[in-house]
Amino acid sequence: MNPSFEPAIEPVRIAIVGCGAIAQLGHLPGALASDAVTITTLIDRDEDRARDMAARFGVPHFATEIAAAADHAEAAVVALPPHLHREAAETLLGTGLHVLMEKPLATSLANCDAMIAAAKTSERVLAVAMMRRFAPSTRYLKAAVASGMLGQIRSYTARSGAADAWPSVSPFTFDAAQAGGGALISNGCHDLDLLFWLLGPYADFTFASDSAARMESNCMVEGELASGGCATIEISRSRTLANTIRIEGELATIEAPLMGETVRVLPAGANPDDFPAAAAPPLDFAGVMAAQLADFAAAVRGVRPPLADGAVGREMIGFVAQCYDRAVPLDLPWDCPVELGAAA
Amino acid sequence: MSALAGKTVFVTGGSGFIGGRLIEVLIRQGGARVRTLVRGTTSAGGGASRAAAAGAEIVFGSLLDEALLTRELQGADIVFHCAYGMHGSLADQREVTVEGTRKLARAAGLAGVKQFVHLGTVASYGGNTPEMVAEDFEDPKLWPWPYAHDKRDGERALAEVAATSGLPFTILRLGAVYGPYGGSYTVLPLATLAERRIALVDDGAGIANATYVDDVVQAMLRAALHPGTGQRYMIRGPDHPTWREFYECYEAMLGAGGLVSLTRAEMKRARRAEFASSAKRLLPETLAALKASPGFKSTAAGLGLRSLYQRVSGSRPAATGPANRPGPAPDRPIQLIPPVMIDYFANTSRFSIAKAQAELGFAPVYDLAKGMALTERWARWANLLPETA
Repeated sequence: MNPSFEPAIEPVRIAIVGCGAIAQLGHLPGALASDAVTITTLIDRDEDRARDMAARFGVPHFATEIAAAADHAEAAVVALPPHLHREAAETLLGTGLHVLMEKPLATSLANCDAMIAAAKTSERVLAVAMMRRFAPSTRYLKAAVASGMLGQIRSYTARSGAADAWPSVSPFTFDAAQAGGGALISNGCHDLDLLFWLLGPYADFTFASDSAARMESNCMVEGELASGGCATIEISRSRTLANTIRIEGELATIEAPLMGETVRVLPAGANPDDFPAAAAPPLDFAGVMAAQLADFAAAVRGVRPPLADGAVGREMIGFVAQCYDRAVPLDLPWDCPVELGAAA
Repeated sequence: MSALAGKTVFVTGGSGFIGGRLIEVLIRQGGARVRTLVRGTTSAGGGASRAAAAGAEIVFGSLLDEALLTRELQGADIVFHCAYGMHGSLADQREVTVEGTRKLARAAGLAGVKQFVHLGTVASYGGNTPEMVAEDFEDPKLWPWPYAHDKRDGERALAEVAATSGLPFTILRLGAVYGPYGGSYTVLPLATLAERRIALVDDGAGIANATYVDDVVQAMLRAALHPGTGQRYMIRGPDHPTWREFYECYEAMLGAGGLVSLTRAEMKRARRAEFASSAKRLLPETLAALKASPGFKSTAAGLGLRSLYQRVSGSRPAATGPANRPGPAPDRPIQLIPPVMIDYFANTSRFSIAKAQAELGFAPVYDLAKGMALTERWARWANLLPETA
């Protein structure tokens, strides 16, 4: 885990609400790798799943009702489908728990506002899980941009795509009413978050999608950044893309995985062959999740605000809504009509 | 395509290649309401996201869950059955392909489905096909791989159920289907040619019966709009490309040669050599594991396998086998065809679409050049071709 995120605090007792794939593969392994948190309760409407996972990870309590989180925890990680986020947040914040909400924060701006208001009223932390911010490669990008070593940024390109193989236990990510959208909101929110975090917002942009049902499998955001330069973000959950970020500046270009351990820096005008990419070690995913939990724990203890708070999650939902409002069809030049003539 | 507007359609295999394209056309062009069965995201998430992008409702579940099928088929006008067993053991795959079809047909009958379109394959024949194969031809001996038998038996299961329930159905037996998101005949050859060379049997003179996916979808839609009388139709593209012509298209897309020709006899010899080589690599590990097994000596003796025990335990030297026949020394390894499929790829039979043309109005429009041109556009977009090719 990244030691810079590990605060010297009394471990925060956390309940995990929702025992699906991200809880099993991300938050629980992350909690085991962090001294800043201890998982006390697992909650899922499927009691068998909650019980089995509690036994497997050595968690002392399990329950089926969200309100039970307060019995043994002072904070909660919510890993439910997005359409359930607002109700869960209001319940948890209302009982005095701090909340780390899985992305996206909610499915609408109104729900984001309600959650942020509930956090303010209860004086509790509302953080959103933008876990790529905690990857070593992202930390390097952040530091590199902040240092000015790249010079004026000319372009930012992120290509993020793979055939979706995330082991979801329900098909919520394929239902716009539950997920709030398709690849843009479910997958692309991480890609957009890094762009906004590193370089700030777009001044103007276009959005192209392969879905008229707001359930895009492929989409592209392109435009000019308010800070100068252009940015392209391509997102897919049906094809494998480069899965890299490339930031080109007047002094140097930097290439990084979407979330990894190493980056590659190319001075302007250099021959790329003189700067071979180092063999990338496998990503320490549990370490990334541990850093995110530790950051949340530090916020709960009042050490510092979370790296991504409710306002960050709200900004993302606002941008996604703008994308959907201005969506144009993605160019798919092989997609020709099937003619039936008189038969139809 | 107004005849499909507002129809409720249930598609199995909607996360797959043909089912995925069918769903896109059903919704975007036909205005149909589509629900599709997906086994889960771990292996089918990419395809499911494609179906969802088109506007389909995604249902997670198994073809073997008859209660779920009965529930989800309520209100369906049309069923397209594209799924078959692809995962698990051969027995698991057969169970899905045959019994899954039977359960789906039963559920469709109960739901009062008006037309059931079933996808079969021209692989459900054998090596005895005439030069031109028509629907009434029955090969006395099928190709010796399970898929051919399972798909044929799936058709039979459907017919058996329909005979009692009166379910209207149509079977389409498809040639080698290729196109955007295609597996065996698109992504696989592109991925293989990027790393290896592909061996063609008899210089690739066998007939591919290649079919661009949109021609298949056209046939499926025509079958759906035609009264189902239990008929079977052969479906393929308008031309008769050979396997060489077919694979040369992918070679050209990648901008590099990668096809080699072997006779059937050479292919079988090379395959035997490859098998012997891999067996030779595995044998020491297998023998070591056996030797370490505590009950091996008594078990082998009890079974009368004294010589095996002696050989494994080292008390008797192993016989020296013939040296592996070295293959050619290429710059890239050659991908061989599985032995049971060598004769399939050498087959020069053509499958007649006269019946589909006459009765369904099927009119394939994508010859190889036209279909491959669209496939190349997709492959470039899908990041499957080098940027410079």
